[in-house]
Amino acid sequence: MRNILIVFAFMALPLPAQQKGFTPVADYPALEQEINNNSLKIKSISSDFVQEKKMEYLDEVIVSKGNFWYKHESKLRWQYNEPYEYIIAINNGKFLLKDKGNVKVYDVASNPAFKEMNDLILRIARGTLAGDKRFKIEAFEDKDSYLLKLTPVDDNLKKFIHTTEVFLSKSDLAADRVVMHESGSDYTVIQFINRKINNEIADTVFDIR
Amino acid sequence: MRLLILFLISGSLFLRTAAAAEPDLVAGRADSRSIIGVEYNSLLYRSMIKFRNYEFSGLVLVKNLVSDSAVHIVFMSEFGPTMLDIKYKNDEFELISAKEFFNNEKLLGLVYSNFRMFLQDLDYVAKIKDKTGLNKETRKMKYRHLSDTFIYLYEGNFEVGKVIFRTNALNVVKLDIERNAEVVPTKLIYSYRGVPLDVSMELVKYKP
Repeated sequence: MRNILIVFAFMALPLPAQQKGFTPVADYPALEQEINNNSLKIKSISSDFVQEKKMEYLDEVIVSKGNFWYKHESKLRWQYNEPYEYIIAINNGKFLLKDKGNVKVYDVASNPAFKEMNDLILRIARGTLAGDKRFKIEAFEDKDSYLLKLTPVDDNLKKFIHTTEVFLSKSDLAADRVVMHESGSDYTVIQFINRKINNEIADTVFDIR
Repeated sequence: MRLLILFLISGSLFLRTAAAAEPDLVAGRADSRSIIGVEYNSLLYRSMIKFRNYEFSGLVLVKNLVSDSAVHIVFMSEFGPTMLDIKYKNDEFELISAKEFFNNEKLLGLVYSNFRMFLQDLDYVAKIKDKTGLNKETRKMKYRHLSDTFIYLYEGNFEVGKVIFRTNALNVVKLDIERNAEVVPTKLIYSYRGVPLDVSMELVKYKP
């Protein structure tokens, strides 16, 4: 089951040095400080999401849609509504998977890969990846967004994660798009829409039964 | 003489009608119709795989790619990343990429044989025994290929409903296929004897 839980992962091809229209951030330490300070203010996030897996050589795009909730400090719920219903939640150090009414529970700590990915998911959700020494991080910006390009340097992470791009909105410094590049021209884009920061989210949202 | 001519003409028409209804049977083999049973561009399934202590849950894309005359099979997690990428071409499976627990020779062999049951191009099979029951409601096709035995049981003489794959008496794989009204395979359930593996696939999207 760890494959499900190896959540944001995987890319083999080198990315272009930067996205079109983005320029390198001149003072990355200042940005890192700003992001980290801001992350302390984020207590919850709720959002819809659209995920597109693009396989150009097969001329296929697989679209998934659903809802996303995060609550400080480590509660997370991904709810896929299309193309089928499926829930992945993280709550109190446990991964919970709900599929067709059946719930399975996995201990995050019992598996190092789970633990690494759990940490990564939460950091992406909160926008607190800046300063993470396990990645080589390059920062770019355009008018509306910061782009953090993450390349793992940690050997454990390299097994699971290749290059990932995280786009942070300049308005709230939370992630609004994540791009995971894979081998060849394949990549997955997760776009967060209708995002709400610090709204009230009941704990029961993460209590998957 | 007139009666004889009429008899010959009507006899010929009868044979033609019968041949049109069951062309495969007249040809003596079922290779004019794929085991999948429908033309397709792609079939997308949600899939659950349990192998020893591992479990995989995600999507499986079966893509009929005309440009390279191959069928591509891509396993991906719900979050998108490809975990296994293989292709079937010229009656051989080729590994494109495998991550994590899919990077296991034994499991890959099982995946190949599972998909061979489903995708086998019958043009590569030397000899096929194809029998239809007297009531024409049961049909069984059997062949040996690559040292293994494949048995296909048809539903109502048209579409494959059950497949049995045997490497030997101990290793047997059964595949039950459920179909919708358009005969698209909607559910594939594999069961194994002698292998700690469970696989089920459920259709999410069909692209003709």
